[in-house]
Order: sequence, then structure tokens, then C-alpha cells
Amino acid sequence: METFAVYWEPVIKTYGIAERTGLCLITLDLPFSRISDGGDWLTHFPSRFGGSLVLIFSRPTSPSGLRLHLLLDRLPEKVEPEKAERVRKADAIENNVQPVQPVDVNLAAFDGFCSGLRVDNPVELVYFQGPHYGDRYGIASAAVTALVEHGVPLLAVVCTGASVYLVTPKGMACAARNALRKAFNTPDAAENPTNS
Amino acid sequence: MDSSLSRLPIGGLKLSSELVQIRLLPNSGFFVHEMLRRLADHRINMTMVSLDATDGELTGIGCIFAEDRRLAEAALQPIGCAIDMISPVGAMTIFPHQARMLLIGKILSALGRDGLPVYGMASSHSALTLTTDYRRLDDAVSAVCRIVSLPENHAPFRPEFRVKQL
Repeated sequence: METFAVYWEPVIKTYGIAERTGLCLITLDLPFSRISDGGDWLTHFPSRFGGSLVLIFSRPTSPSGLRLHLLLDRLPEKVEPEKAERVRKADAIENNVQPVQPVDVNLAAFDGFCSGLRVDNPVELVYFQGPHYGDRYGIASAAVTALVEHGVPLLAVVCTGASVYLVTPKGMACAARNALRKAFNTPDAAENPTNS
Repeated sequence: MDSSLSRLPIGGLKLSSELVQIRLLPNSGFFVHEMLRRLADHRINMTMVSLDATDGELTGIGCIFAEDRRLAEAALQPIGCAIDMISPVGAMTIFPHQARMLLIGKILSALGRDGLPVYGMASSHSALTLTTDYRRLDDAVSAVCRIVSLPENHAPFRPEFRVKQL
């Protein structure tokens, strides 16, 4: 492919850094052989659980599956606490870790083709865009490094096109944004502190 | 009835050139920011990134252009035991998705029914990018086009030029 334009700036610019709080991150593992079933399940997700999608992202898991993440604008509404509690404890025992937090999702809908359900709730999101990010090296590195250096924990990072999304635990979005402001050239007037 | 009436409208489909998908393996003992820094130090762009910390430390995938593979292998050689690569990979970007889980679910279903691999996925507020086998990218487009309607005079397109950072 021909390259006929170049871009350079001394400090990476953003168009502004925004954040959202009170989000819910749902994670599940989907075997490659059941992607079609997972898609069918997803088509019915809004009517079953309510809420709106903020982000969806995934990566392969060993040996033959996809770890799927749904970042929603709220905790899904329909609950089945008894079963959720069982799964939460089972997951913790299996992974030899403390239970992360209560799971408040109707798990029956996941049965049969998904496993490894995890719900992180609430979580927060910091996101920003910038010029030609999709064509430039070092943007994700600069963002992740800034947060690591300031001790801000990350639950997820998603970059596509000109957008960078950083998912943090509850109460960390502000610290994340402050860390990013020190690493990036950000117009104050363009910042969006609202939870929209 | 016109079958196009039941299709879900989208604004467009964009296809990538040939990519390599790099994965930092879980519990590898290396941190993802080290992988990102090594790639950045060698001026290698990642066109898509999807990382999560569900296995403890951040881990996940990033895609680079196929022509950067040798450079990336050299850059990542010190942490080579923590990395695997899938190739050839192609990315298909659907825009806008408008947060329609119905649309995203149908796309996944269509790809799954046609036996097309989904190696990764990343969305923004407007676009959804999926990675699959580059050799089957046209098949993936055919699967998706069975369930979406494109604007008149729009065809799935590949970028014809690239902006590069010095």
C-alpha cells in the first residue's frame, strides 16, 4: 500500500478526555464452535436484561475459545442471586482466588454454550480520540504506560480506529484521566466530565 | 417481500490489508506495557488492541500490518516466550453499529454458521472491528452482507493509502 502522508507531533494530542461511571463489565468464554450460538444469545440480550451496550471486545483464550466482554451502561436488571452466588464461589475456588464481587445476572441464559462468567460492577471508563490514531504507533503504549506509572489499575484496554478506551475499577477514572492529562496534550475546554 | 427490508442498515464496511495478530499469553510473567513499548520503540503501529485483566495481569491481542512482522518479531524477541502470532489475519470494520446488540449478535451468528473464525473483536462508540482469516475475508463480507443493508452505491472498501507517523 502506498504511503503518501506523514504525521508527527512532539506530544501526542487528544481531542479531549471523557469518562463514564457506573458501568458494568460482563465477561464470558465462548468456544469457537459455538460462536453462532453466542451471536444468537446476544441478539436477545437487550430484551432479557435491559441496558445499553457501551463497548464489546474479545480475544482468543486457550485452547479454542473467545473471551467476550460486554461493557454495559448498567448492571443487567433481571437477577437470580442464588445461582449467581454459587457460580461466583465456584469460580473463586477453581481459580484459587477470592470471589471478585457478587454476580447479579440471570445465568440461565448463559448455560449450554458459555462458561467463565464474570461480572465487574461498577466499573468506570475513560476514553479519548486523537488525530490519525488508527495510523500511528505508540498511542496505546503511551496511555497504558501513563496509567501504570501512576498506579492506576486497568481492567481492560480497547483501541480501534482513532479511539482509545480504558476500563478501570470503581473510583479510578478520575485518577486515570489525571494521569493521561500529564502524558498527552489535551485541550481543557474539550474535556467532558459528564457521565454521558 | 424484498429480503433487503429485513436487513439491518449500516453505513459501510471497511476491510483491512493483511495483518498479523499478536497475543500476549496470560500469566507469561511479562507485562503488556512492555510489549506495547517494544512495538512503539520500533515504530510499529497496532491497528486494533483488545486487552483485559480477567486472568490477573492485562493480557490480550493487538494487530499489526503484515509487512511489520519481521520487525515486530525482532522487537519482541526478548519476550518471545510470552507471545504468539496468528496470520494471515484480516479485519472487517462495520460502521456505525449504534450499540445494536441485535446487529452484533447477527453478525457473530452469520460468521459462526459459515464456519468463519473470529480471532478478536473491538468496538468504539461508532464502529465494530472483527478479525478473521485474511484468506476468507471475502467470505466474511458475504456472510455479513446477508444480514445488513449498505447504502446505495456503497461497496465494502479497502483503504488505498496510509498515513504514517514519522
